[in-house]
Amino acid sequence: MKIKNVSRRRRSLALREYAAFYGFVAPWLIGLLVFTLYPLLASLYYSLTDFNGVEMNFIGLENYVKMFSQPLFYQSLWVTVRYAVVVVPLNMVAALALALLMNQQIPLLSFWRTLYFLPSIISGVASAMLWRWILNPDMGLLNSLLMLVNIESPRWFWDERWALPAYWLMSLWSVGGSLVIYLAGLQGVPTALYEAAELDGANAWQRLTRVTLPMISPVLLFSFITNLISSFQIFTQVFVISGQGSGGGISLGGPNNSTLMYVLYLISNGIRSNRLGYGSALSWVLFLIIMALTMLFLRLSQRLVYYEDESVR
Amino acid sequence: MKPTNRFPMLALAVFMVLTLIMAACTTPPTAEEPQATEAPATEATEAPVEEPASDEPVELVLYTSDGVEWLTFVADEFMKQNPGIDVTVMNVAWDEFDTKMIAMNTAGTPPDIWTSWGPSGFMDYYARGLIADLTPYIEASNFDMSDFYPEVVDYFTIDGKIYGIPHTVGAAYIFYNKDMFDAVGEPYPPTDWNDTSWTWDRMLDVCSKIAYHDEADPANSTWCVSRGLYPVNTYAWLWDKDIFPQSIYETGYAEEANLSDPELLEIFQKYQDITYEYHYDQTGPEWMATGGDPFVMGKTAMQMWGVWGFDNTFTVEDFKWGVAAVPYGDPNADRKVHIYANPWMLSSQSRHPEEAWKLLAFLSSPEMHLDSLNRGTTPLARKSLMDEFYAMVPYMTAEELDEVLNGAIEHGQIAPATSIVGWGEINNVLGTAFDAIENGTDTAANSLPAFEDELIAKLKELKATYEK
Repeated sequence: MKIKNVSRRRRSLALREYAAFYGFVAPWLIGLLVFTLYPLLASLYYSLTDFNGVEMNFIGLENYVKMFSQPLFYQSLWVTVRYAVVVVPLNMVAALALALLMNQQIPLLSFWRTLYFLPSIISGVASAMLWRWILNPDMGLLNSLLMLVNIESPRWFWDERWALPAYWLMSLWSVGGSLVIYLAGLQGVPTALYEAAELDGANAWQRLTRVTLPMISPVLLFSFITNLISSFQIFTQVFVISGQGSGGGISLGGPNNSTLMYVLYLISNGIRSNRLGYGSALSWVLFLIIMALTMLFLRLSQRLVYYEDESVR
Repeated sequence: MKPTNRFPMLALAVFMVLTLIMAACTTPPTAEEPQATEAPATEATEAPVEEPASDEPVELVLYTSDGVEWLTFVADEFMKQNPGIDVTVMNVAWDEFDTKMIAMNTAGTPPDIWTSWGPSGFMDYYARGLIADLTPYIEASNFDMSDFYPEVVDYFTIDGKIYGIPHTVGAAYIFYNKDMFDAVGEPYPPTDWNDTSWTWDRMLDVCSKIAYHDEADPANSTWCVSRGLYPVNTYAWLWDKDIFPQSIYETGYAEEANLSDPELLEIFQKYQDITYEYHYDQTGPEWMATGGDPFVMGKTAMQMWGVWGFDNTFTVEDFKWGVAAVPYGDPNADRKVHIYANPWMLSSQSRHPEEAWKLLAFLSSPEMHLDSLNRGTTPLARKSLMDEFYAMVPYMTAEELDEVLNGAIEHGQIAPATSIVGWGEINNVLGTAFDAIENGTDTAANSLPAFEDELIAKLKELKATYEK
């Protein structure tokens, strides 16, 4: 009888604990379910419809079939891949080089760190407008410098051969985010390892490649994956620089679709043309592409990334 | 596993299911319950229906991306005269206008009245079944339409039914700097739209005397004519040519387009030559580097603009300016000029159509239009208010203004953005097609024909989508 009472009291306490737990996490859970999970599942359903914001009819896989027959779909994918293939390694190398410099005992270190980090907190719209000025072929800062050394100036955003390279160049503006992560990684490398390497006669290059890079390889992998994802999602810069609203005489994703990034194509179709069903299908394909690439690189990186704690693999 | 360990997962599962059910309860109209499909524009609102009496206040949304000050005044005045009706002026950014409207329609809370101050045009709203037939309301309330330009009312009348009450109206004009013309002793461009001596070639003659191009420092250049007409196909209208068949402006759809006709290619080459052959207009980068509008800054003598040009020129203080007819491409052709007109529309999905119409009629009354005119710089579609507008414009007589504004309406054709379904998508294709011309990387003959098939495919796709 006594045992039964204790058991009942325990259960009552447990119930109150659960009630309190779910009461406290409810705002977050509701937020997740209503504002993330529900839209996610809804967009999956919309991708199987011709939803245009007013009408919605189930059309099965028609949007997906249509997508693969659209030349601009392939063009947008090709442009995005070309952007990512250059920007991801370029950003990683630039951020790592700067992080290595910032990790030295140089004068005004805090100032330099702030200076390099600052651009990454400026909004995409503001930096895009700034770069439109810097790369103005007639009166821009960069071309003025190139002219001083008698280099023929490209027309950057206004020339379909140079527009994508202009975005590659522009991506360097925001290496500050990766720089901070690398710097944290570098400062976590035990100095004893460098001392031991020096005692073994390792030169600077060997210390970098045999000690530093392996030790920060998890950070490099993290940076690679996040850079890859953000490269596939590039939108703001191209949207601001091209298109009618830009006033610069370049079509949206132009010239001649040379900067038609995937998300730009998605927004152009899904939102601006009221084809929400088709846009949802495009966004799911992008999700699958990014997920497949992430899983592929995580798998490929297993032998390249060193974890002190092997259990995290 | 002990029962107490199973509880959290069970509770979480129940919680998630309940939340999803709650979320699903807010599902937008689906195929089973389409609001717009049941009330397409062509069939919407057969007759005004009396709302059942209710103690709840009626809430209306007046949706806009511009003119908030005036619309707030209108809403306040309306609410004073109509207690029990609450009007919210919802102001959104121009590029979010359509997106927000989609979201509101999807959520079942559509805006009640709006005008085409967003990227979509009148025919887009009509084709998507979003706007109501106003004819029964106009008739039931004896709303006086006689003061509006009949040509403009016609633009918003489909199959004898009126779907929009005109608000602003204007055409494409040439705004010119009188001081720069005086400096070279050239006569001003004419206000008479029938003056066939005012041609594209004559405009180039004038430019040869005004323009000065500084190769080394373009910022020091003096420009002659800025090509600000929108969209680009309307330049061909000056020669009575077009990329699209005439039927597209009547039905909203087409399945043909022409980007390879030698005469059209010649016209668009002339369009490009103004910038790259003669340097009478700025390139995109030069325009950006000017640091402001070149006409308003006194750096260019003429500016081809739509009616919104009045907004810009009213800010000019440093020189005298005038408004004239755009030139003839071919003096023997029946040149057209495009009309920009914005109608106020009533949502076919409004939950309070009677009250929404009452608000629309109040907003479109002569008193409110006069107030709108006094606060703005754009001519309205009421003939009786033109004299008021003429009095606002400096440096020109009422006769000159009357000739240029009314002449434009006589020669006018409604702008593609208003009359063509899915214009935004069509214009995207055109924008890409004209990249080489705009950026001077290739000639019209070499670049445009390659886009003809893509343009036709887009037209066919739009027709198939919306006519369905």
